[in-house]
Amino acid sequence: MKKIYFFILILLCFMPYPSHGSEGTKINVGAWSSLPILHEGRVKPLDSFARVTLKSFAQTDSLRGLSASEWLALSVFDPATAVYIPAFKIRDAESYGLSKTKNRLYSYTDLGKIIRDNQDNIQKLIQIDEKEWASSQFNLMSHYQHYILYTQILRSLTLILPINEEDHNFLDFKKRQKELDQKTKSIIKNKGTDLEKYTDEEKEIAFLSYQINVIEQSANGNVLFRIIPENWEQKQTNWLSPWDIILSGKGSPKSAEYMKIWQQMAKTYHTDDVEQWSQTIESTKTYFDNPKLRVEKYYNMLNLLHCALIFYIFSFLFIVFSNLANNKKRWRNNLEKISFALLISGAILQSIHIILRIYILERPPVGTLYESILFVSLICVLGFVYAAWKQKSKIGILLGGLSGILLLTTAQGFVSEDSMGTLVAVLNTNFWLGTHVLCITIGYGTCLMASLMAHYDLFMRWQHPEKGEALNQSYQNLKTVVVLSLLFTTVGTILGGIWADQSWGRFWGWDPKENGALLIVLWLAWLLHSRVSQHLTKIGFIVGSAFLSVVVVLAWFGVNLLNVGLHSYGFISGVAFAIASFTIFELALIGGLWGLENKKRTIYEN
Amino acid sequence: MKINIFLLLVILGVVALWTSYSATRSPQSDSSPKEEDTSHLMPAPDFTYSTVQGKTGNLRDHKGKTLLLHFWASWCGPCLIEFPDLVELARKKPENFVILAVSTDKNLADINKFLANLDKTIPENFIVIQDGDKKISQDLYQTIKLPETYLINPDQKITEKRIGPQENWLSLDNNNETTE
Repeated sequence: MKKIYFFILILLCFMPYPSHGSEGTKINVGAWSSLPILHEGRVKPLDSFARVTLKSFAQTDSLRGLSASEWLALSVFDPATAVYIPAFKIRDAESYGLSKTKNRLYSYTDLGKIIRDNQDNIQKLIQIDEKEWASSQFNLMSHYQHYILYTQILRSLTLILPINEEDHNFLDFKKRQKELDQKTKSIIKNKGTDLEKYTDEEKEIAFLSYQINVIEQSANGNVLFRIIPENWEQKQTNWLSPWDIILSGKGSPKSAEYMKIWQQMAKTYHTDDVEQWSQTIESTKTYFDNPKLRVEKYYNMLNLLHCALIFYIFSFLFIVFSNLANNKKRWRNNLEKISFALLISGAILQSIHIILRIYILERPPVGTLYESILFVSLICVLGFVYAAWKQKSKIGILLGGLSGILLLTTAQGFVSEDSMGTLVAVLNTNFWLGTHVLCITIGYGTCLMASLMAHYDLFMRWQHPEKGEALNQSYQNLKTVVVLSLLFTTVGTILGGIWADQSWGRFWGWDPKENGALLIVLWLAWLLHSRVSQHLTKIGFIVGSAFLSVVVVLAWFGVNLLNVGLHSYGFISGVAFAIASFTIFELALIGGLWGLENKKRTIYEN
Repeated sequence: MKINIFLLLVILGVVALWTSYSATRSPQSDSSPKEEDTSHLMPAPDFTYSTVQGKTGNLRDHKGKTLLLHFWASWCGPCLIEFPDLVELARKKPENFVILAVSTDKNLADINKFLANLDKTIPENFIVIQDGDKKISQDLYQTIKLPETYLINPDQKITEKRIGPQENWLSLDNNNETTE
């Protein structure tokens, strides 16, 4: 067993880990990236903000040689350099006259050129309804939005960044703004606006006055970088950007102190003073020492889900290889053991991933469609791990790995730029998420387990009809899982009705989502009752169970496509083709297996 | 099998009870701190000041009194409108109440000129301070736009910040709350 864990340890060494330290600076932004920011309704570490933002620009959460946090630090502390970093994915760059690059990433200056060249088009498109935009127009507006957003990020800290060689910043000159404005007015009054007539000192005064006014004007509406709480004494408070604090007059002695720390950060970032930088970051602990933010940063960094998926893939491959090594018993046993250990390790990593999400988001892990897929996947894997352990059977390992791979891959299609976004108001209840949604998703999980088991059962009945005892055991297991599915889906559906009664004032309204849930319950009830009353043969029960995958997919995803009913927060689009393809595939697969099994059984019985 | 289902039901019950408990426990308790409890309030940072008469002092000298830390300037129109009301407020509350009127004017002469033209006698508990280099206003209290006023309790903790000119200074009661 030690050998197996040693092997897993080696595997872990090959997992993708983020880079540390970027080119050109010795500053380590690790601790800095744990500082808080309010973004999209949630206080998160800067690391998460950086990843979500970079992902929306570059469609990746790291750049070559720069992690997302390093890119963000460069953007806010050294915007003059950041504007040349390729961080915007522009697939249609050639149509704007830009030369094609290998990874299609372009800099802010390139993006700026596109925006300037298409200023008139953008203005026209703003007046038109989004639905009427052509694909190319949609892309142009998307570039425009990215440009606006990144401009805000670049200007986030312009009030504390050094303006001149003496390290003076906007706030220093702001103290003298009244005096400078008066002097400039007086110069213009005496000498007019021709700069040639000014002395060097007068030019300097006029330029400084102009510069301060331009910086202030360009900061209007700069509200994205919300790093300062409006009310430091309250846990639930609005957060403001440094510019918003200054322009709205909502500063306080504490925000003044905190901004001085950021000023110090900017200074040390520019001087590349590693020691001073670390000390400055350390001093922020007086203001914020939230372990949750650090945990979230590590959650981002580790990407446990990715590791779990790799473990499942290897687990699946090893169990398949073990089947091929039929003649070498020792090899086969070892491969099976490794495969099982990999499956358990993957399940542990996925569990940790989900537990971390619960800790960070302070709610059950089933708030979004993406989360529900992760949870259902874990239920399936854990169920199969239990079966494999209890019955010392490699079928559990095979199906566990397969379910993990299929569901985690599906989850990737539903992950948004920010997978930890704020929930809509109606879902923001831990009680109902923890009871109804959890129960119904466990039900989905057990249904998919039953379906996979039924597929395997059909396959085995076709391939090995002679293995009577094993097939009987497999059938009994399937029946148990179907009973469990009925229990969870029924309790979950009833709980959903009670929630609907509390939220919408009625227990049942024949809403598509409600009908979907009922469909699963009815399908399961029909299967079990028909089997008990002998209306359904054993093979009929297995085929019906195999179709649970289609029934669950329709109830889980399909009804969301209808865009009607009160469950509007769950509406999705663009997966109709995938659902239709899956249904056709399942019909063909199950039908084919059934036909082959039937043929083989007839031959075997004769 | 029966035992397993029974176990599952027990687990479900425990989850339901736990979520129910956490749902009822969390929302109200943190949001409204008791009126008397001031431990959560931000302490007012201390500073040394020079009055327009040339005397020096510290914020901490006024510990035990209710303070109004008011930021203004002689060139700021709205500040000048509310200034007489503040003087009147100080006159009405001679005991345990002090107004520190911090002017960001660069020239002392501008402050004195305004005070000389003011049709009111400045009481002793109304202290006019010059902060020409804005070390108190901008560096310490992050006041950039004028007028702004901090209300500070006898423990020298900030109870409120008021942005912009106020019309109801004269109705300020002993708890630093406007009664109108």
